[in-house]
Amino acid sequence: MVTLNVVKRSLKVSLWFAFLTFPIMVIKADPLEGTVEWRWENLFFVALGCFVLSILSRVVAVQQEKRKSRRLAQSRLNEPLVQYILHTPRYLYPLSAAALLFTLLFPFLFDTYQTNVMTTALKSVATS
Amino acid sequence: MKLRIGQKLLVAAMAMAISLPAFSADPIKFGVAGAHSGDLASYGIPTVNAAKLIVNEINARGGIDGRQVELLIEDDVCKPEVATNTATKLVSSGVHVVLGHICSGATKAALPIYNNAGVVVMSPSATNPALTQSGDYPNFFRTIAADDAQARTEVDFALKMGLKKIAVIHDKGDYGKGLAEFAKTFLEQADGAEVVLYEGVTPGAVDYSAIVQKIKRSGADAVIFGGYHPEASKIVSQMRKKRMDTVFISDDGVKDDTFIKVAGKYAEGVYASGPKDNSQNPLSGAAVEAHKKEFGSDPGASSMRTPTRRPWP
Amino acid sequence: MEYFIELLFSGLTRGSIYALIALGYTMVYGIIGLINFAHGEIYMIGAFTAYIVSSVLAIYGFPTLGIIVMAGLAAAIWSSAYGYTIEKVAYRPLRHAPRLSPLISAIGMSIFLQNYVLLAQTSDFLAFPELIPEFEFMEPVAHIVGSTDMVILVTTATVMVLLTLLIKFTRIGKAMRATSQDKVMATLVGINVDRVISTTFIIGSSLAAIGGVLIASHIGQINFFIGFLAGIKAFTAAVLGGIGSIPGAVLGGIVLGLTESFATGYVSSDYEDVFAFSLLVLILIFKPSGILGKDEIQKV
Repeated sequence: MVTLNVVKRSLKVSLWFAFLTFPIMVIKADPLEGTVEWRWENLFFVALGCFVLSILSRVVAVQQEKRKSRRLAQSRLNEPLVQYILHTPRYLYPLSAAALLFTLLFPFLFDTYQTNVMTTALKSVATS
Repeated sequence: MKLRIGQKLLVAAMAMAISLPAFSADPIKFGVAGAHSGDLASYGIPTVNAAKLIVNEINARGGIDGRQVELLIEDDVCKPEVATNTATKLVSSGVHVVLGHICSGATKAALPIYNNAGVVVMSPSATNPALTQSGDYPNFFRTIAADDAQARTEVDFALKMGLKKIAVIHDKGDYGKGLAEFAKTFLEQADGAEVVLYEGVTPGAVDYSAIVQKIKRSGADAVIFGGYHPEASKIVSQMRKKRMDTVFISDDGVKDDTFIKVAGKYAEGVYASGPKDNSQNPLSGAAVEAHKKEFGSDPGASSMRTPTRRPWP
Repeated sequence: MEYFIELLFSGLTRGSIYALIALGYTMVYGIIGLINFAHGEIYMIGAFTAYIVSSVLAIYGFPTLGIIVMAGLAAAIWSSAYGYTIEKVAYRPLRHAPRLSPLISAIGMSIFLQNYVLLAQTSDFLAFPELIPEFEFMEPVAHIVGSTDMVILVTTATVMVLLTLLIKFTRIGKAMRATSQDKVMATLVGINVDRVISTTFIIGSSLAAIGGVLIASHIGQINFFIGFLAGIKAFTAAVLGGIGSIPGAVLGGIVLGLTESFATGYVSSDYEDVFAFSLLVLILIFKPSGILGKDEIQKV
């Protein structure tokens, strides 16, 4: 859970990032016009964002640790979902059929533009 | 000044839109395509703003023949592969006329789609000569001079100043090299002029002193440079720092406020070709004022450019 | 003959610029065997920090000397901070992952930092102030070598000597060498490997910052993309000289710079890159580990 220690460390992280991003996020200077724009609100958002992210990541890490130890205790074979589906024809065949159907129907379900976006995306997947 | 171009375009567009068969009081669909995001956005956004301004004005007056004008704004990020999508989307939503695209490459990619659909396209900034001169795209118009016209102007200018030995330098890009090739051809055709150096430099390099020394050794009276302002300002400032007073003539890729800002005192005495300067025109002044009032910023640098592809593996 | 000397100096300047950035690549590679693709971006961030700080100080009317010192210091401080943070966030969690993972992470970091500066600052080119003045005594040779060129040459030489001394003779240098030879053994004899790696990143990044300030005031302009192009050439220089070796990085940079300069001068600048990379291929065929690299069969 969120302990005082986690909050303290997250606070430190957010302070560090606030310092780190200070010149580039906050100051925008134009020496030719002689104007300096101080965007203090950015500093606030960076600090807040880092604080929340840091707390979240710490909580998730703790949870994962717990789950891992539980899993080890039960010592059950644990495959990722994708692998499981790929190895089980009972799920694999209907799913591929559905995907194929969706692909074929796509141009009729959506307008030309969406289809265009999709073809471009698939093309770049195929070529990369 | 771009605003001014936008204005002209719009008037032309309106005229053409009227000549299209009008079925009812449906709105006239006016497409605006170009780079509205990404690093070249500064070239596309002013056109959008200009279109908005004029369309608001026309609609407030009751539209054209009772038909309101509807803007369809689409972003192509100046990328040819995105531009085809943009064009398809505009065509499939029944656009009547398009203002754009901003970059030559994107325009070239999008034109066949508009051509098949019979849509008139006008660009304020695509300067590639083939777009109009090849005859492939009868639906394409532009309000800016093509690159060969620029090269002609630069060469004539140099000859008029009595400069005989000329170094032609370019940035190896489509736009810069194309322009440099035209300049070289025109110089070779001219009497008494001599191309003493014709070379491409690598854009984005950290130092150009080697090519600057080579220009000095070639004994050139003037440099004609085809390319954009970042390289131009580096070359000019290194030339001046090496105490050379060779005349520097360049194109509308250099005719940009950023060039003057970046090159600072070294920008003094650099000549650049570009569209007619109409900043003194009262219409232009009014347009800039209107733009400032509506969007709270200047309409942007006057020059437009064809972007080169960024080298990311 | 004068033409030759002019080309020589322009090649040396260019080479020193590559070398200043290449030093950071080579140090990080030497310690953890990672090609830190984000190094070019650190250099860019150094230049941007110097730009921002010097602009603000100039607007508030500071004296020139103060501006130079403050801008340089700020660039070094923030660049090191970025280098330190990147190592902690992007590389340390992947230290025991397969070889390619941190490499991909580095490329990701580089793209991230470019876009971060693009969004937080601007996509335009900015005019970088000429922080280094034109020295009076340089005037007679100004048509061959400028004041900024001279400062870059001297700085690169000094930095190389100082770094070599640091690695040969100090405590932290000894720890670095130990870590680069065998991380596990270094831990066993009581070296804090994490701290050594962090220090390496901090030193490498502050070198990049010095490079950023000097190069930006040499070419007079910056934008968010300068790090990528400079980084590619600097990386080439590091490989050419033998990645992992400090004098190698400087030698590689100079060789690359001279090749480009003479190729431009005597052949054509169209072929500048062709010559530079042909040389790289040739050297790597005959000496796969680079000019001063140690012969060992391993790594990417």
